[in-house]
Amino acid sequence: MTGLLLAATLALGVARADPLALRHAGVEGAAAGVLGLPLTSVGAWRGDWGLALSSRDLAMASLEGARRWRGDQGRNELQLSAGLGALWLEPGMSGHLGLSLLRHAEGRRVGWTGSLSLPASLRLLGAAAPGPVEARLPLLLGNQLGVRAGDLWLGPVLELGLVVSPGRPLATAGQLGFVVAGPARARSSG
Amino acid sequence: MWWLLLACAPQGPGTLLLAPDPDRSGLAGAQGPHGAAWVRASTAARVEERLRLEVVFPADAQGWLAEEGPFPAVALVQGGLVDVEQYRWLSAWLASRGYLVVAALHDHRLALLAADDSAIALSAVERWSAREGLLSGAADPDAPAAILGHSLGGATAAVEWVQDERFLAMGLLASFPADFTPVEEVDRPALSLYGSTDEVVDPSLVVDGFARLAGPALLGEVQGLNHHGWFDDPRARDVERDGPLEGDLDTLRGQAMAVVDTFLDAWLREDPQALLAFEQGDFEGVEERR
Repeated sequence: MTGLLLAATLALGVARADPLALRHAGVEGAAAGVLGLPLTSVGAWRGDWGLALSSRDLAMASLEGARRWRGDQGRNELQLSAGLGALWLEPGMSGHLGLSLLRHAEGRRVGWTGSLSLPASLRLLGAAAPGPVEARLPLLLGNQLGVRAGDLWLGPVLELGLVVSPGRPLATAGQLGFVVAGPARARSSG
Repeated sequence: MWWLLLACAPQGPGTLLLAPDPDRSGLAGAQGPHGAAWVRASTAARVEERLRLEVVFPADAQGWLAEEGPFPAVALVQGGLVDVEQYRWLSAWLASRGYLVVAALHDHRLALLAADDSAIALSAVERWSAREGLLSGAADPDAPAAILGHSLGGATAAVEWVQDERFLAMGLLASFPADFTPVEEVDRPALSLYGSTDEVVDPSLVVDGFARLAGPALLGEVQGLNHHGWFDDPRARDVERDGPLEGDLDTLRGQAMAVVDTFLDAWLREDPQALLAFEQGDFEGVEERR
């Protein structure tokens, strides 16, 4: 079932580049897909190591690895991620490094996750770079509600933040989507 | 292999907005002899985002780039919740006079959300100018450009003008720089135009914003023009909040464009007659308030 969901998300191929899916898979599942705009992401955990494939605006694709540390019976979580992206709109490569802090809480059927994420991206190669390297530091504050449906976790995703690049005016970042994570498993303390 | 196509510069021809006509004078306040056509394309922004943009360029009768390039570039910043295509009359006007108009399509039609999109769009057009394709030879990356913004787009244009010296000249159309934008630190030329019946933008804010400009500048009040006369097809409920148009819209736009044309010719083409006219500030239907 999870494989089908991930395949469907991949096939639909909509929205984004920090390993968003891994943040949501961290809710309770081993794998997750986020269908959204501008970022779509699928990811899976094996133990505390994760792998995510993401696409933003269908303008790039990135593959990222992540490590997580969990505490307070899985309610608090720290994730560190790194990866590489391929950009084809203006051909090039990007590099990503991210740090996310998450807090989970849930009732019998409804739960929420709050996250504070600091993904940074660099354009490593490519014609669109105004200089040799461009840094991106979106500060994303996320919060999502979800419901348990059998073995799955379903819920909306909303994140807002700022993009800070040296020498450039501030820009905003936003993410709207829908997460499917599963299968649900008992939390393990970190 | 569709992604390989996305990586290419725009291919032509563009969609014709205005057919060429050698009888159009192209004097300040009149359309020029070129045709005008538009094309849309995407470029990468802020490392990995997709930024869509529209380019309106001097064109021949088939919608291909006119031969006299490279053309001076003008970045156009849309007003809040206004579509870029609603300014095509203005873009076509400028393109007919030999200007290349580059307009970023801002997310949610709110330019302030990403103030450097116009600079990114201009960079993309400069790269495409150096490649094979519709816009090959369209722009000279070493030539000065101008940035024009309407309403909220003007506040964004001011941010970019301060930030990016490629934008030699700035034009504010029914707009003013935000308090936090340090326009007083810039001594490059600027133009501020607003309509006498504009009831959307507070004229005192326009005047105060103009007073902060440090370089050669002109403030003009277009007699009888309102806020929504700057773009086509405004929503009825927005127009209700605006003052009335007092006169024929085409005439009022022509009088406003005489000032814009003079401003651009003076600073992007270094036309001495235009420079003199800009300094004198004597335009029909426009009260100079320098």
